Amino acid sequence: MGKNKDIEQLINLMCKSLRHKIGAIVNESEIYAEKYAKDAETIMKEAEKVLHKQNLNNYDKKIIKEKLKVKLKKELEEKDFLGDKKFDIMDEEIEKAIQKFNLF
Amino acid sequence: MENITFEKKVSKGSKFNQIYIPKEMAEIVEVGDLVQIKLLEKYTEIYYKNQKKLLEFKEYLVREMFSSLNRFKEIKNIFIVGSFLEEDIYNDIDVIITITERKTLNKYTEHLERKIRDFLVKKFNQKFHILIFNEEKLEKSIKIDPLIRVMFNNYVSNKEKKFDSKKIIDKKHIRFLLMMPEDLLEISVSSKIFYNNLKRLIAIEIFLKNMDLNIKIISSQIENELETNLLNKIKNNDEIDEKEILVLRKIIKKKIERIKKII
Repeated sequence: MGKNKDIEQLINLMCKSLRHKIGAIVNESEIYAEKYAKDAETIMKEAEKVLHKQNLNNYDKKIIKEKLKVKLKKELEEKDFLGDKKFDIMDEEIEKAIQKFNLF
Repeated sequence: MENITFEKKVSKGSKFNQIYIPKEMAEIVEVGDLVQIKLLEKYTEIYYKNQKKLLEFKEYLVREMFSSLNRFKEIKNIFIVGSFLEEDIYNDIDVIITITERKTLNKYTEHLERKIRDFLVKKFNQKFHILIFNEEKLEKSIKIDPLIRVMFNNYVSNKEKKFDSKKIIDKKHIRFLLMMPEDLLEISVSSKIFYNNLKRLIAIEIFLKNMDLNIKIISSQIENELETNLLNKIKNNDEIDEKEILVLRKIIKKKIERIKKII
C-alpha cells in the first residue's frame, strides 16, 4: 500500500479509536465505561501497526494531525448518544495520541 | 506450655460456634485453663449459579483464590465467569469483583485491578482478567447490558448473591455497543475481534427479542451462521483473507440492520 493510503488508514484508525476512548471517558459515570474502553485499545493497536509501515516526515505529521481533528469532530457530532462533554476533551485526547505515536 | 497446640475447625453450636478439645488432649488442656485462639485460615465457601460442579482441581484453585483475596479489604464479592468454568483448556480466568467503594473512578479501579491481577498471577501462575465494579453499578449493568447478562448467566462466587433479573432496554447503550461492530464494516483488525463482535451482536439481538441469553445459545447461533473452517479461524485468531472478511462483514451488517430496526 502507498504512503498516502497508509496515512489515510492511520487517520481512520486513530479517529475511530479516539471516538471509542472519548465515548468511554464521557460516559464515566455510566456502567459500561471500563469494560468498553478496551475497544479503543484494540483499534489503536491496529493503528500502531500502520504507523510503523512508513517513515513519516514533518509535513505528513502535520497533515495527519489536521485531518484527524476534522474527522474526529465530525464523527463525534454524528454519535449523539455520547455525552456532551465529548468535545471538551477531544483536543486533549488527540494530543495524547499524537504524542504517543511521535507525530508532533 | 507454649508448645501445646492443636488445629480444629470451628463448628456450629446451637447458641455459639465452638471448638472441641481433641479427646487425646483432654488431660493436657483442662476445664478452667486459659487458651488463645488464632485464625489460621479463613474458610471459603463456593456458590454455584447455573453452573455444574467444577472439577476437583478447579474447585481447589477457586477456593484458594477466594481465600487469598481476603487480604483485599475493599473486595465485597468475587465472581468467576467465562471459559474457565466450561472448558478443559482455558486461556485465562475471568474474575469480576465488586467493591465497597461507591466511587469507582477509572484511576482507582485500574490501580486496584492491576494490584489484584499481579497478586493472583504471582500466587497462582495463571493468566487473569480482572474487572471491578461497585455493586450498584454491576446490578445496573446486568439490567441493561446483554454481554454482562451473558457473563452472569452462570458463575461461581465467594458469597451467595441474588441479582434482580429485570431487563431494561437502554437505546443509547445499545447504540454504544453497536459502535465497534459498525467500525468493523470499515476497518480490518485481527480475526478474533470479528468473532467477539459477532458474539456481541447475537447477544444484543437475543436480549432485545427477550429470549433466553447464555453463552451456549450464542455459540450455537454462530455455528449455524458460519462455515466451520472460518469459525475455527476467527475463534483461534488465525489470519483470514479479504474474501473471508467480506463474508463476516455481510453477516455483521445484516445483524446491525436487524438490531437497529428493533430499537
